[in-house]
Amino acid sequence: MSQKYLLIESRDSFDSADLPYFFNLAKDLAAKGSDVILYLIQNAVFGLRKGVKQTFPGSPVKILADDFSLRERGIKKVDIIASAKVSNVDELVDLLLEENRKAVWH
Amino acid sequence: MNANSKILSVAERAYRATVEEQDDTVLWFTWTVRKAGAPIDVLLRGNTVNYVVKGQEVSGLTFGEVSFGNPPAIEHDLQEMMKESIKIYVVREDLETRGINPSDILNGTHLISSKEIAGLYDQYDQIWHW
Amino acid sequence: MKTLTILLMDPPYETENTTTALRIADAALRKGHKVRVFAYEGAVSLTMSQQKQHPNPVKNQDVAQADHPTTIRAIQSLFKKGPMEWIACGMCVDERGVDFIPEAKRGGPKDFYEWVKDSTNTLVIGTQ
Repeated sequence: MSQKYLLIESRDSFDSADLPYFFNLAKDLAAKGSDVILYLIQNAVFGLRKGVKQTFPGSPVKILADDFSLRERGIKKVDIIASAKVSNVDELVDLLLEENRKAVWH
Repeated sequence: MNANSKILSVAERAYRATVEEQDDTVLWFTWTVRKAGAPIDVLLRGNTVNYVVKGQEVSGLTFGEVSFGNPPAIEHDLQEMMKESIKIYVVREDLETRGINPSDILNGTHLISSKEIAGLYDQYDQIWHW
Repeated sequence: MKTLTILLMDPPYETENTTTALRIADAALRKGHKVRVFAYEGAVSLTMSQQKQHPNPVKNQDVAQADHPTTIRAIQSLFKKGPMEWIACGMCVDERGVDFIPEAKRGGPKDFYEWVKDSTNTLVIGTQ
């Protein structure tokens, strides 16, 4: 049966060497048929500016970026890569409280 | 979530609480929850893979006149946890990159590759990623 | 109404995890859900009763002008906003010599697990 995951990434590649683990996990879970959402929050949004050398998981992993974290860092919607969609804490709560969606913080 | 739901406790930050808990706080919490009836297992990744290395020794820690007579014994704790049916999974690549020889680790642990982590997560209802 | 259980480990002001956790709790309560927070390790200081606002001399602000948002002010306001429960890990409290506001209760991992079984979902926010 297909499973649902909410992977919440709070770290950034400038400060942590551990992002590949989490991004590969997202890809591997999706490859097994799971519905995977990667929610970038806190310093994780630093990787979203166009021109940053960082590879995010591609489709079907859905990438959401926390609006407050972006705004706090002066990163505008036009500044970020096209594959990420701006989201917010309300959507994050909805996802956290979706039945059977496993939430994993990193 | 109910009493039959399985939990995977993922520990990755090692040797953080030697003074505070005389334990690893994540393993201690996991063990306590197991004693409360939770079907819970452990995945050691990152630096916590060193917890399965034989020969860890923490005696002699003294600050001023205060000696730590009951220091952490994580190796022993893990063995006790395994006796209580807590599976201890260890990421093989994380051992290799730290130069840890599989022959130097505790018996009874389950080595998995990085590629197998996703499959492991699929087997559990909740992932507590500390 | 759904129930979200959150485990926090970080002390009040050292990491952004506090901001995120409070944002999530606030939004969940605003949406009519129940929120339970288990404060582990340094997070037990989030509900220390003796937190005080202070002036900010570098900005020449007095206490009122600085209006420092201590975590107990935020948390007590969240308690008024909707159904919320808060447990401070008892051993962590003892080790640190902290107290906690009356809205919070003393507890342990077993209490957390009881919550987990009775919640829609659980989010463990570890420390770095």
